[in-house]
Amino acid sequence: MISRGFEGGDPENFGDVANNAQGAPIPRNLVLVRMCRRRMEFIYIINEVRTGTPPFNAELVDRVVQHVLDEENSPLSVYEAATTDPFDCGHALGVIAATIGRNDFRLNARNRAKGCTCGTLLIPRACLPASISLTYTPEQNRDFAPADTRHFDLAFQDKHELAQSVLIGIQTRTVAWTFLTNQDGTYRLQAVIAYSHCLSVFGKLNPSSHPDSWRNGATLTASEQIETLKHLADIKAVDSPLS
Amino acid sequence: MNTDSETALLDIGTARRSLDSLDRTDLDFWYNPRQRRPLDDARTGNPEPPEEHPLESSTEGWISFLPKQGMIARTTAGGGIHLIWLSPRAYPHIGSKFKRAVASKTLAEMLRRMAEALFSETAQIQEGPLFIDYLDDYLNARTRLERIDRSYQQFAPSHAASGWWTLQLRHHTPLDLPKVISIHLETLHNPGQREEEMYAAVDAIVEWLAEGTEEQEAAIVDPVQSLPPTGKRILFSACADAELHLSHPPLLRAIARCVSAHDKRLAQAATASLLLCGGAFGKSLLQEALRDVTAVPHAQLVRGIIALLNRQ
Repeated sequence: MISRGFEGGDPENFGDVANNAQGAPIPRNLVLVRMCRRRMEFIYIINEVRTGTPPFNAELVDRVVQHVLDEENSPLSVYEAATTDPFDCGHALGVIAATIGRNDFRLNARNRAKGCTCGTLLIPRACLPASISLTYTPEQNRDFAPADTRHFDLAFQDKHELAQSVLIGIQTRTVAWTFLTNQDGTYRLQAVIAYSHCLSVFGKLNPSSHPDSWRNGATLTASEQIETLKHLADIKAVDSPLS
Repeated sequence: MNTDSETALLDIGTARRSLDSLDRTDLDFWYNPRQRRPLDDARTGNPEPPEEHPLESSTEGWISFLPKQGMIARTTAGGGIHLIWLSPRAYPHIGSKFKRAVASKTLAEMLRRMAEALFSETAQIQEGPLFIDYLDDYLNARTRLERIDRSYQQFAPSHAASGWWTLQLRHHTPLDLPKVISIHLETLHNPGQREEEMYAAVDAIVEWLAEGTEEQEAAIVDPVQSLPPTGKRILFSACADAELHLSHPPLLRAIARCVSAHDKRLAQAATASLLLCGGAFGKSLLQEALRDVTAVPHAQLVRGIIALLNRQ
């Protein structure tokens, strides 16, 4: 395991490219990609934050823990992005990495589940509480090899403190958020950005002869990852007939 | 043209000629047939209680379309004919409204919805294929109507070559709620139920509703209205997440009543489901609910949801 641990939460380090003790770059921004199966609950939270003021009540904090952090214990999987812009390829890679393993995203799936939507948060490191720590953990990225180098484990001591920080970040507009859905094409857009990034790194992608550096995942082989990415990006819609 | 618009008893032989001379004002008699009678009565000074037109109670009959010109409804018993004038232009976004119309219970309801579907789009009249072409596409798709006669032969053989369309409405008995759906609705009633279990129940209900008939929506109106706020909120949220198309007016009205709920999440869920699932009727119900903001305890959150969803 490549250790790149560092303590987060220092506003003075926000946006820098300083190295941590192990010499690895400290991520500027983190993409906390959560598969919010209950997109509307995510939207209610965003709505209530936008119309409220901190400190946020315990009920709202609990809902962030329930619906955004999915009640998960430390550490959380997060991905690195260069900016908090949803069009950042780090965001797109994180979205795909967090979702590609779903059965209904596969090429041979009968149909994509209705309501199969995703809420994401793009969080500057400085928004997080000082008690969190980040560890570079590419091997913990399960099923989308191109996102390996962007994967970190976010360890926290108090999920409610983390949730409160997220709420404050949303309220002060330092944390960005997206609602991605199938029907309006916003999810596909992220897949297209990720696919484009992969083309620039690996060249033309062919599921039957995947690049050597594209490793198999925990549940998807490298070929299945490429096949599913192309399916999610719906590249057939614009692909050249000669290709 | 027959000016006795309350009954508009025109025989088929004169219908086509009459359609040519109808104009928009003729809609009035159809939209407000019962109001028209008192006005007439006021003129004559002879008030009488309005009589129900045969179409208002008929569950069997036909609605026929004359390309570019109009539509006619007649009961199976031959009770009476209503005429509606159509614009010759296409209305490209009326599919969902027609879906709503063909699920009507009575001929009058069906005709009214057809007219609403057409004339509520008047601001969007566009050049393009004729209405009848659109209807052709639509009716070739799935509808619950038992028979659609392009030839119009069964209604008026002499018009077989004129290109009439005929929709036949037959009586449909109300749908019984499947037992499994009733059990899931029971789950939403239980105050001690874990939310995850409630979410699992609504997923099954939404999956069933996604089959998309208005009878199904009608069947859950009463059970939904009796749900506690948490059950309603979870169900409405799941409908919005799934972007279902809901078209049964009583169901949408039941949702709209929750916009003014004291439960802030229920108010937001009702708003979201009206916006995402209810089409134009859902949006109009939402506008209506917000007309008196003092009656909406969480009006700011409701407006916030509208803003968030409209920016998507």
